[in-house]
Amino acid sequence: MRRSRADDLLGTYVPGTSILHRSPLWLKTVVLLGACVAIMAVRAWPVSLAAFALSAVVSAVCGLGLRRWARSLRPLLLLVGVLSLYHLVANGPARAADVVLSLLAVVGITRLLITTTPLPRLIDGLVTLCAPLRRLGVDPERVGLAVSLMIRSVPWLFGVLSGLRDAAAARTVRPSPVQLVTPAVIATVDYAHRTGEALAARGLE
Amino acid sequence: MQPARRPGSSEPLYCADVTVTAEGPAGPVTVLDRVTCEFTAPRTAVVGLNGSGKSTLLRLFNGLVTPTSGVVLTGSVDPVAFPREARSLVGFVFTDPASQILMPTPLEDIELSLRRRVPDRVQRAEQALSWLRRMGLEHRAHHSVFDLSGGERQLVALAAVLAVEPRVLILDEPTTLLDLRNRLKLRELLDGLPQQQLVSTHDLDLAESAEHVVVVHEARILDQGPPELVLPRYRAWCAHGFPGETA
Repeated sequence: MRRSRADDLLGTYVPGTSILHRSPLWLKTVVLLGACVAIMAVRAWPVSLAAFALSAVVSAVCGLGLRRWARSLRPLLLLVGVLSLYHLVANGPARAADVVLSLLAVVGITRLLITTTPLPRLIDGLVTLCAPLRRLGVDPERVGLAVSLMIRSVPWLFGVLSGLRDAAAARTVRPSPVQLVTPAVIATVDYAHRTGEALAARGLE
Repeated sequence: MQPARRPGSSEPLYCADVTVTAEGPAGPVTVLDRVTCEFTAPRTAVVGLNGSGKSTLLRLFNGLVTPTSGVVLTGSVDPVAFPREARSLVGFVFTDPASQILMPTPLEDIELSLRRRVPDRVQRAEQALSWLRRMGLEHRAHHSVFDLSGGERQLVALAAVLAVEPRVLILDEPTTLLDLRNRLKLRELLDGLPQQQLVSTHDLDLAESAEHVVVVHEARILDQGPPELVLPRYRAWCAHGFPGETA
């Protein structure tokens, strides 16, 4: 199932009653994002490793499961490989370990926020956060809608690519990534058009 | 046979001399050609071949398509001048629910519909969940829409449209992507709704359940009337050629 892998990239809400599920959004956000900033700022790989391990523990404690935690990191495999190779050669093992572990820890931690908060709550929070922008003529509701559309569209785009690859495979053609670009762009424009139509029809534009 | 739908106060859907043209690669193409009609039945079915203009006709009534000439009225609202008002009057269900569902999970999508009318977060979630319950999809509330079956997605799309309580429901080939079981289920749900319905369809069983059937052919309304008269003619035309066609 390629599609579920694509879903893993951003994560979806997992219902539950853990302390993270129950704590207010602003507190969760401040603590988790604060941890992320700290991890990025402190350039010591043992700290990153500890944070990474902690994200696994918290994930298990909050009833999200270690498997879901591990799965959320899988889309990063390629990136992690390339990054570790580069930093290993360029900056030595300590720096490589720090960069890679920081990345994994930050993804693991932000995942906790996304999987324990329903998306509408996150969007509500974002809208509240953007409220001061109203003075500059920006409608915070629109910002929220745009972000949720983006979140919904990422798995759809992965689905398009895998669908095109399957269609080519069924015709025993092996397309180069470049050849997939044109149909993918056409499908995406069509999707955008239909999304716009649905937004208009639902009175949300 | 079918449960009687409450006719309620009907919102006549009215077209006078409407022409719609679109830019094609070889000059303008006429999608609807001087169409005049008025739909007041509790359920009106629009049948016709692929590309005959059915979808365009449906989209006129919520302002998704603007006529090149002619007048459209949705109830007493002109959808060209007041698309927002027309769209709050009309709920529109698309053929492909995947493009209609805008949020990652069913519950979130229905909440999106409710954002404006229910400012309280808890109430909003409760109402959204009760809509899913009505559709028998409560257990799917937090699943990714990509994991739902086609039938479940269509029901979510319908729930999201019904949540804003429109007076009229317009459905563009709502059963085309569904299997027979889901088709029957959707029809049962539609039969129980108070809203006036305008449905384009290739599903002649669904068309048969309407009080009024309209045949659109080559951008014009070729025939209309009660299903028991119109549908046999439509079947014969499909098999042996439409009037004016050389077989």
